Amino acid sequence: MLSIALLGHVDHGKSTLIGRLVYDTKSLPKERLEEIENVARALGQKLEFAHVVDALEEERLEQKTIEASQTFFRTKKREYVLIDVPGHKEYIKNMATGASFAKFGILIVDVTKGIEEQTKRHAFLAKLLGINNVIVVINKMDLVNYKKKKFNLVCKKVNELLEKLKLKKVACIPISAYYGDNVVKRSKKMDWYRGRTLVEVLDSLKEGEEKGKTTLVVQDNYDGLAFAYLIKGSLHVGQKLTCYPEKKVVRIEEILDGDKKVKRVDAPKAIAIKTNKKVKRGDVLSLSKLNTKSSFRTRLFCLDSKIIENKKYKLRLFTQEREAEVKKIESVVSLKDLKEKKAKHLKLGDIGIVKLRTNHKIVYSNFEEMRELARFVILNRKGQIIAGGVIF
Amino acid sequence: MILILAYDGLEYNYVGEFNLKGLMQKDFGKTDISEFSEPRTMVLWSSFLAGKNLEKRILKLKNIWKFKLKPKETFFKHFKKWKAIDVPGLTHKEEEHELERKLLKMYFEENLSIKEYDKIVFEHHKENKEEFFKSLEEDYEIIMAYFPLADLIGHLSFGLKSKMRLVYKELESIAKKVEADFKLIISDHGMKAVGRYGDHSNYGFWSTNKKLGTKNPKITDFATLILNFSK
Repeated sequence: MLSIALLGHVDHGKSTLIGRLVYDTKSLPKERLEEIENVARALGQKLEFAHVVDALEEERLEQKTIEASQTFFRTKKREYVLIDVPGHKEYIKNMATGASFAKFGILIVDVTKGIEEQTKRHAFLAKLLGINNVIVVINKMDLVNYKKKKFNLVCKKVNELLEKLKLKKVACIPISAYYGDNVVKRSKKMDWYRGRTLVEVLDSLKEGEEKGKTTLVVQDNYDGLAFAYLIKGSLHVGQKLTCYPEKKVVRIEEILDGDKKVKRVDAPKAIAIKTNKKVKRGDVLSLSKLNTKSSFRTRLFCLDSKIIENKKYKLRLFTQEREAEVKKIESVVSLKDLKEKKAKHLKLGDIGIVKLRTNHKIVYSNFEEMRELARFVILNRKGQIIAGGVIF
Repeated sequence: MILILAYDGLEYNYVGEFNLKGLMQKDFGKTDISEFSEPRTMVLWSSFLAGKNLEKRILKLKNIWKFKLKPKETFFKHFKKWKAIDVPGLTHKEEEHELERKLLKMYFEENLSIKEYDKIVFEHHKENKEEFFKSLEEDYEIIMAYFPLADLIGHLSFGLKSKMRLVYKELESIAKKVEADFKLIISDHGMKAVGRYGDHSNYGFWSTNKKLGTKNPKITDFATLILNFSK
């Protein structure tokens, strides 16, 4: 399954695009669609696309176990999860807590409005969060009579923005999410466009292998049976891994998948293991070379009122928890104006490059190596998440 | 000709959200039904017809759906040739309303599917709609047509906007097809979503094709307004 972040201004047609992708790839649950179709038939009405968007919204609200901001759809090639970014706060929170993480983004721009503040903010945020590849969709082409000139004009402006942010543009596609032009089906109204549809572009994306090797984090240990989450690679009985932060070598004696003993498992998977040496909550077992430090430089996204230098907070990275202090705020970028400045504290919406110090060594990776071990959250005394961090 | 489209359970907020200009007409708003202990369909429509609060009188009955006013107790007494289609408290089709209440109960007892329930509701709606359009061919001074579609579908599906949008569009299309000197669209109460289901809200909806300039009128105020207009 490939995660895609949906970026762009809230009024530029995100919900309609989600609806269109789900509808045209036939990913909407049958029962709900049938119920609406029956009503439309009984009342002699034509089923409009707005009804499908409504139905999808309802479906998402009902799926309480799934984040409301996530939508699933399937093409012939693979499954996708589309992560809507309603506000940067929600997205960073999801990202930092591991609920969602996308490598690719779709940046949606309304052709009649062009680039707006929120477009810039989301593009900037994408860059900061490691979404380096962006598919640009210029939406609402139907409102400009599918004119090439209008598309080129907006496309040029978006190109300039992406170049400035050093984001790679995978494609720039003229679409009408409402009428379905160039989303899943090729538009007959834009003969001048010879490129691929959005779904064709999505299907051509290569997930790319990360460098990280077999890694698992220990969640708990009861009487010698450790519960762990395998985040990367394959694990097999007899394998020897380095247990961080102590850096001792540990041998895997037994693997339990549910209540079944297995010889081998693949990530991602929650498992139970027995090892020749005791492991405890917060330990990380890996074949990769991981960092263990109590002082490091990181990017911090402030999600609450204030983060102050030298104040004590709690840092959580998977199952590792440490006391943490921001020792120095080196620079701050405000999401309001995207300008870099010096500051003594971070306030809501600020993104800072900071030096963090923890009371004990923390095991982490950098983003390129293993993104799961490169993100963390900062909590206040009440246990509320007040910042998200990514170690690049 | 005066035309009253009595849309049971039509919700003010959905009319706005779906941007249904044909239902909003020239003047529209919420009605005040706070004087009633509960937003009961029979009580509200009867009070609308009589121009006064009939709650106490109706609630004395064991089965309030047996309540029926005499025409002389309603604003129809001021008109020589009038027509009231399926109007609760005056000409309502007892058997059909009883069947719908029974089906609703059956659904919650898991003996009936929504599809089966909806089918009966649509049949009732179709019947009222045909009767209404036929009545327009005759020379009535006033016609009041009752459509329980939004309320009946709403009880099991008000939380599903996708479905309710279609229902509201249907009610709008009826309103748009007819012209009258004075056209009043009125509901007894609105609805609020309870999950996918719907419950009665404590206000109603009204709209007219003439500027009334009234704010938050009571449902019982309309009897006088209708009479004034006819004069």
